Amino acid sequence: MASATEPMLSREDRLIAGYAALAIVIHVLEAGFPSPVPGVKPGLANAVTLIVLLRHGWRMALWVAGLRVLAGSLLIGSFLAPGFWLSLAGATASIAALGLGWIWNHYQRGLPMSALGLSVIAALSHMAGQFAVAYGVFVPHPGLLHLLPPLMTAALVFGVVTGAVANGILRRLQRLSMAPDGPILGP
Amino acid sequence: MTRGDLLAVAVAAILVGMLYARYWQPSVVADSFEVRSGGELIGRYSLAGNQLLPVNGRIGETLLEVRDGRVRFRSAPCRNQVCVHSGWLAHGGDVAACLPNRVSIRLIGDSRNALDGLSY
Repeated sequence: MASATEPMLSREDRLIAGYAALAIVIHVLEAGFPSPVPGVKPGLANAVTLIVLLRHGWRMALWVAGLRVLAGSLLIGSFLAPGFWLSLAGATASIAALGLGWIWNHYQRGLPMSALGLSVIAALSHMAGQFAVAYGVFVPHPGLLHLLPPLMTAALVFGVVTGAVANGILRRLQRLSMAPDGPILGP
Repeated sequence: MTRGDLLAVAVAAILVGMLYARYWQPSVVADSFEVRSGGELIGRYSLAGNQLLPVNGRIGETLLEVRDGRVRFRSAPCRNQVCVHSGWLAHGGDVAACLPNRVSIRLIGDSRNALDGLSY
């Protein structure tokens, strides 16, 4: 029975909270590193989103990504500041792209994408969404468009890196789930 | 890495390449320039030929110099001389301005003068 002080938590809720906490920690750590160019950072927190997507599905990935942007911005202190809107636009675009990638993987059997391919499309969409808001809302100057190619190049490179990291973790999780001790974060 | 990943990376790389082609075009050589003083358009001048062009501004006379298809602020009555230090301008879209004297120039490049293509 659920009571007022102890709400009923499903196993899924706990998993979402755990994954989101992990993603938030990476998000905050990454924000602490100085970046040579504004808007460029590795986006390793997205590896968590990818792992959740591939192990638990799109709905949970949406929760984890949303919680990360919200709580992450509260912790960094950028909530509702320009950076928050950029982050939100990027996260919205990338989770939408991941949704499309998810559909792609489910409805055709020939060319499924692993976390690497998904990570690349998510990273490019993230940058595109972020750039659209930066250009459309904050700095509508044509000179900004010259920044788009190098920013997208960075997104492509970091997308591959994050995807490779996610693939490595997924392989290890797979081994753990098959270990005799039983799954810790099994699907 | 699956073949689906390869496809995704290839499509992404092509997209990024297209962005470079679209936004990193070499700038177009200008053929003329507009001069403004106090916000009013004074005139549009050709970059062909050599000439000195005096322009009256708010605090005095600014001297523009056109030579070899380029234009520069040769002298200005202002203190900081930012416009003079802008140097020679030759590409479409280039701008230079003397804020104290309210004189600015903008170069106009016509894509008709750009190359249609290059082959090696």
